[in-house]
Amino acid sequence: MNESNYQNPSELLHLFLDGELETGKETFLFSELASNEELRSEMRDFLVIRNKIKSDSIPVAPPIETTNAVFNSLGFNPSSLNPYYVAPFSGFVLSTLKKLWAPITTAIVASLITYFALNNNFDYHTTQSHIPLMVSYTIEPITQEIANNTGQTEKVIYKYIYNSPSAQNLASQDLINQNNQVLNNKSSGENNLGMVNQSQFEKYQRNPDFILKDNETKLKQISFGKSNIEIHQSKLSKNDNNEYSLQLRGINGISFPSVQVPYKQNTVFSNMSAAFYFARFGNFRIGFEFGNEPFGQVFNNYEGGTEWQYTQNAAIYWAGLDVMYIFDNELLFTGGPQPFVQATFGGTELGPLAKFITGLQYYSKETGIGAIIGLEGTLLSYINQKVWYNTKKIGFTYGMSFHF
Amino acid sequence: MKNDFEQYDDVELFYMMKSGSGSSEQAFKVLYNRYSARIFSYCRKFLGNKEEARDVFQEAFVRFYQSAQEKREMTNVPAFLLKIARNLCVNIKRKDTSTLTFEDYMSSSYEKSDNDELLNLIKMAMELLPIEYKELFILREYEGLTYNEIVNVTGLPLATVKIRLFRARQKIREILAPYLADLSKY
Repeated sequence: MNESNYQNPSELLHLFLDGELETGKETFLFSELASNEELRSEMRDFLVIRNKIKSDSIPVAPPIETTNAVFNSLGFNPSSLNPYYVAPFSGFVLSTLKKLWAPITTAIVASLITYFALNNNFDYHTTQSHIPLMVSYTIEPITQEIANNTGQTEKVIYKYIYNSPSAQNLASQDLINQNNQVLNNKSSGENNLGMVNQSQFEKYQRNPDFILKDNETKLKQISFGKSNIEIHQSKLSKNDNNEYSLQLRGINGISFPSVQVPYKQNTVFSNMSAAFYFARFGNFRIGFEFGNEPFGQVFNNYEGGTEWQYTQNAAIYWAGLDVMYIFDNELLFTGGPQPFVQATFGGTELGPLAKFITGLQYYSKETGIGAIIGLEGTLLSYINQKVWYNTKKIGFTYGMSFHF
Repeated sequence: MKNDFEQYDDVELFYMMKSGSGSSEQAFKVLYNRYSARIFSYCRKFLGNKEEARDVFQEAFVRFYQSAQEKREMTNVPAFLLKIARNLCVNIKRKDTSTLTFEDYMSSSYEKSDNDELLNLIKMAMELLPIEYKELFILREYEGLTYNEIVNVTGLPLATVKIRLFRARQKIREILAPYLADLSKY
């Protein structure tokens, strides 16, 4: 075939599809298309191929190392290339530590605070063997809301305490009062249910849930054969709760769409949020929260007639209003954490943002220090060239709080 | 972080690169941001080898910056960049007689096409094309260049561009014929 000769219909077809066919030759081509099945088939095949290629024509950004190499070759500093540039670390360990230090530190601090708070205030787990009177455990806590004679709502927790005669086997245990002072040391056989009256029980019980405090009363005692069941009623006024609280939590989530692009990490405040809860209405708490975390983004942009697809992992600041609902039911077997749900509605520099969290919170009413852990879902919406895009994130969150 | 230099067009930025001052670096960065993805994608498509594509890409942008220091009239920056990248790719391909490895082929297939049989077949067919056909096919179908722009980038006569492009498509259609025949049944 001569390279300068374009006369056959197939060649004309390709010129036409490329927008390069002279107008004068179009009539000939169209008549050929009308009568030539093979030519129509060729056109169909080519359009299929072209459409498929078009779907694969998305530019792919060069790797960050390659960009560094280009800029280093020219003696330029690549760090100011774009706002989401992250300088590579020299080693895997260092880069991993940089990525994980904030969540690890937060988790350790939260764990330590929780540990000490539990030991100071909910010590029945560790002092069970010091209770010489009975082997006891909670069968099923029941919480009810009742209104007292002042009209104040109170939370009533019913604890079913099982008293077993096998408690005699716990003889020779030290009796310890609430101040951890040894009261006496009873010898074997002295401790049995028949010898222990209610006043002794109230005096020596160290478990704060079992001690009758000012706002508690003993409800009733029931006997079943050789066993006794005591029902205690504790009235915990909701007014005991603190009004304000500060919260600092780490966020560890993955974005959808998932992008393999490094993000610019703020050394001090990244993958974290801080909140201040300033109002409370019943079980609801209202607060203000702000944070910084990356959001994977994939969006299209038309530039000079070409559609480009951008992929980035933008670490952005966000802020919003928190609405938290704390459930009354305490999970007594874990030391008293309360389930909560929270919704956050706010915005970022890119667009509106909503967060939903469900988890457990615990705090010591004495020290005001607490911890939270939960699952979090986030939705970020943003607009580019009049098209809305969404980035969803799921992950877990954990942190500490201070109530005052 | 918005860069003030982004308000300038390509040609203005190209001439700013000549100045040699701080604006030279800024102008280069803006042009790099605009065209790095396109040039890198072109190199990967052309070479089908990730390592070679990185080397060529780096060399292309270094030469692009150096060329701005010479006395040169500029009208189309992306076409100029493509021309530099294309010449480097052609040189590599002429020296390189080895065949494409399976790993390179798979790495040149982006995530989106992993499950796309036709797209993978098209890429495979492209790899089977002679280099002089393949480069024109990529410039036309992937980069969307017109015939005249291809002439500008490659330096080939217009007639040669047309006939090579035509033959490239015929060859690809020939390779894909069994698949396309099945496709037309449904």
